[in-house]
Amino acid sequence: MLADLLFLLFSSVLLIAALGVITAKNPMHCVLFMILSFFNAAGLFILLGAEFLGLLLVMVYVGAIAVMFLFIVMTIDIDFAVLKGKNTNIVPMGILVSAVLLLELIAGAWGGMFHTPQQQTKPVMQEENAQILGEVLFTDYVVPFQGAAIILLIAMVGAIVLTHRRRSGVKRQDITKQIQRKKSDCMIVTEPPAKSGVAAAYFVGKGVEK
Amino acid sequence: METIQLLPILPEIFLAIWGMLILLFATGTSAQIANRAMVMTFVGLFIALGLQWEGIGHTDTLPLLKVDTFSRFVGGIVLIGGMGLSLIARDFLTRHQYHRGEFYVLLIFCILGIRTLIIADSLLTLYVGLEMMSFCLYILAAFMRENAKSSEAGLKYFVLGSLASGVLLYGMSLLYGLTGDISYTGVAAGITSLIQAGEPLNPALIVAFVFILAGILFKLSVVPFHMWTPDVYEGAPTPVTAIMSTLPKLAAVALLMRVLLEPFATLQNVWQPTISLFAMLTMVGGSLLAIVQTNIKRLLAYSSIAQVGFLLVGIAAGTGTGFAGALFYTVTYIATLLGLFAVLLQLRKRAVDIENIGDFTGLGRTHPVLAGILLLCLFSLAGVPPLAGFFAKIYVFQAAMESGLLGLVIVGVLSSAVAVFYSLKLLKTIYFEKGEQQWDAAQPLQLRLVSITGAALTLGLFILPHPLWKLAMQAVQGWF
Amino acid sequence: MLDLVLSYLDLITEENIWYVITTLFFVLLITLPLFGAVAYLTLAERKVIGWMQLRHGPLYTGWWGIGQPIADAIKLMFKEPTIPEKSNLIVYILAPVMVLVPAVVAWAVIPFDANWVLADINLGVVYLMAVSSLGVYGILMAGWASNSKYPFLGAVRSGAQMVSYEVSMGLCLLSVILLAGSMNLSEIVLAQQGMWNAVTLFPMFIVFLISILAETNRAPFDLPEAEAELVAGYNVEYGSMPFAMFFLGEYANMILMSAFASIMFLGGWLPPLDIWPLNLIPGIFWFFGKIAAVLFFFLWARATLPRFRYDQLMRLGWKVLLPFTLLWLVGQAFIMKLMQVGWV
Repeated sequence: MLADLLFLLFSSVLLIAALGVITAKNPMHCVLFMILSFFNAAGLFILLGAEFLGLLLVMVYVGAIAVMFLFIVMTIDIDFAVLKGKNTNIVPMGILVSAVLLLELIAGAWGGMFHTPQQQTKPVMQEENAQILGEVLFTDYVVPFQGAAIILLIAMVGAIVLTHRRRSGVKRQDITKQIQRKKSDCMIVTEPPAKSGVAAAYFVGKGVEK
Repeated sequence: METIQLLPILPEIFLAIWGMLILLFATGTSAQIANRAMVMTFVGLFIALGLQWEGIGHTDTLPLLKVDTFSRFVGGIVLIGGMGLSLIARDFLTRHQYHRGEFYVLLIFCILGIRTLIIADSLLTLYVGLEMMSFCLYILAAFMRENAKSSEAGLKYFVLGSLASGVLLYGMSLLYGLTGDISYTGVAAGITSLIQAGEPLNPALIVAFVFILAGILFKLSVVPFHMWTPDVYEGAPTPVTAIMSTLPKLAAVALLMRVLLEPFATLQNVWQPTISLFAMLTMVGGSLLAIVQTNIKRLLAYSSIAQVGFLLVGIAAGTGTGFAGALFYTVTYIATLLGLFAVLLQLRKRAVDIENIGDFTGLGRTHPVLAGILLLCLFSLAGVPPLAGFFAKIYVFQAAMESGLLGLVIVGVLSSAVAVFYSLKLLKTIYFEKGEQQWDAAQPLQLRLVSITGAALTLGLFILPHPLWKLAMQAVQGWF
Repeated sequence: MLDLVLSYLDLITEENIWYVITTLFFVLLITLPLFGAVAYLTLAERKVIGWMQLRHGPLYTGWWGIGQPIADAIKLMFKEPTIPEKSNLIVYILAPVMVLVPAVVAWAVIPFDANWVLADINLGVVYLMAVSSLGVYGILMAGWASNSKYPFLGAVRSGAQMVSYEVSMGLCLLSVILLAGSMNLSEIVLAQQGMWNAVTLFPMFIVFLISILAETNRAPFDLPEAEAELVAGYNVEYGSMPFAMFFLGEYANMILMSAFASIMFLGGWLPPLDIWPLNLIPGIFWFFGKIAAVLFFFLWARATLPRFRYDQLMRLGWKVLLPFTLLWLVGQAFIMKLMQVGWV
């Protein structure tokens, strides 16, 4: 009863938020709508009894991934109105493709695509969600699990290969060098004779020309 | 978990660990370290090939995986092809100052992904393997990051490839919704029960099938999912183009065979005409568009599209000989392309890589061996005897004739004629046209080695096709 | 349609109403003292830092400066809230709320004593992690919506910092979970009956303390508001109650993290040793005492340490804490497995 009501709440807000993602003019609002939709999806997960997945969705997607999205959208300056104005010539093609996909989906729905077969509606385990998930993940699904880990590693390698570069001409902090520096390396106390000015004072140190 | 279960997937485990070892010990910016990575990759692939022998006779392995003669055959070819590919990149990348250990790490992981894809026995493992392979290729395509074309190729490939993956995944989720299972056997059983229960054919099932097929055919760059191929092949660094046009093709063919014969076995009367249609479109489209190309990499891209069309003919036949023919075709295709790319990587005028077909003038006089291998490989791709491509085409066309796909065979033969035409055009440029002839000499040993091996295989598989044909037949025996 | 709506009226039963009322009562029982604690934490901060720097801190508002927080609150309430003309109104107003709400909502799962917990869920740790990772949104939104340089820079810094340190913090928590074998906060406390985790996992405790400093944007990691370079970071454009909400959120977060640290590493409501005079004191006092101790650490760090430079902060997070916690976690799991098998 209450669960139905909550389902209604979560799913309707989810749909509205998802609509907001694609209709909002400001990209920042798009991302915020996306976060809202993640939240409601997490709510749906929890309603289904998969609390661990729900909380993980909040932790990983909302807490980390969407933050990166927000970051990127914040730091690049895109004006969606300009973008939209440019691409009018592909609109008919887009409509055509969407229409075909829509027809396919309607045909699919006709064939019972969205009806869940009976064997699938097993009661979700209430107790120790995470433990059960872990046991399955490390036994039956160990290959895809490890495979996914390797994919992440590849993505990391890729990010480094494609973006990391050692620029020359940049001053870098070298901690060991800093620590090993002694007073005598960089400082000298002199007593220049009076009235001879700066010329008589000299300064020597590592990396400093006289 | 018993150790015996790990025996069949020993090469995969080894490759994963080996790749990480390379990442640890052989990555960085210095050239020496990159050479070490190259050697490690070559050796690692060789060891993996040896480890594959260890597992022969054991079929019982981890859940969601299935190792059989088919996967061993394809996996072995992938390892051998990978060994060839690991050798040809150094020269090119060193010249462009991009020779880094990460290239080889990505190559190893790409091969690992392909092997995972081949031994997958569930949609989940399939997807993981496919993504592993594709991610490596996306990165490799953009490997020369300061080169605008390479970056463009990477981005294009990434965006379109992700879209295709998304479509594939969506199809899988629909299939899961319909059958309630992700293992191939479970899906096949679910589909059978759906067909028995329903009257004509469940439209939802068709949608799921079409989505999955579209995802795979995109990776195969079948017309009309081929748009990305020329741009990506042209923009990517040449060694990467060599990788992209060989190993993933084999992976996608193997995947297509598995998916069509295992989960979708009961839908044969649906997929057979579909594949025939795609085969026809691809042969014609690839061959015709190849004529007007002026860049050799674009030409090869369209040629590779056409080749995929030919091997689809074998699959469309739907018989054991057809599938074995398609496998045979892919293997000869890989050998030929390896030779071809090894030649292309040696062609330079005043230290500039030559990609424009118009600039090939005079190659026949200064570099007769290179020119010979180049034409040999091109004619093999066109299917001219006495070269391996001839038998490959014969096998697939024969199988198609046996299945009564006469129209397909006629289109195929005509397309081959077109391929002969553009090969002849190139021959004319190389031998008879006058122009600048300042070709660079002194080619590195490894490139010569690979190009000669490729050419030797192209010739050898014509003289002795039977061992390979037998292996291919054995590989598909499990299904027929 | 009407039937459907009417059928929901059946939900209003005496039992349900009582349930809602008692829950609301408990919620108020937690939040109102929390706000009080926030107010007096500001006073404590000024006093403690004052003493450490040989000053007196607030003295004149009430006896011993005791009325200072109330005076501050009243002052803020009566100020005029200003909204910059070019700001993004909705996001601008939403931002302080997004900082405050997670800091308060998280208290639902905190056990104050044995069985004194509002929602005793099995995934308490994950819930806390999830909720505490939301605070960054308020800051990012504030920085962006203000449409001004300093807030923007502060927000970007803060976002990167919080995401970075969340990683090592999560790994610290994992090592605790590994030891306790549960993600329920009460069970984690009970698993520390013999020995606090702060002793067994001492290095992780230190990493956790460093991480919560960074997570709450406190000195020496208070780069987001670095007053010398960014004026006050993300909240420059805010005044009056919205500013007060940021303030409340930040300090409520500090108290929350202190409570979290007490539960995960300092044995929550348990006395240090289960012996006669110590176990007479009710658990909740032990808990508050531990929270106070960790809060003192926050203030102590602020009084003593100079601010980190941004690259140093990132290097510490990614190149020191992350590899260390990862190695520790793997090693700990390895040793625990060996102990399970009986080799050690």
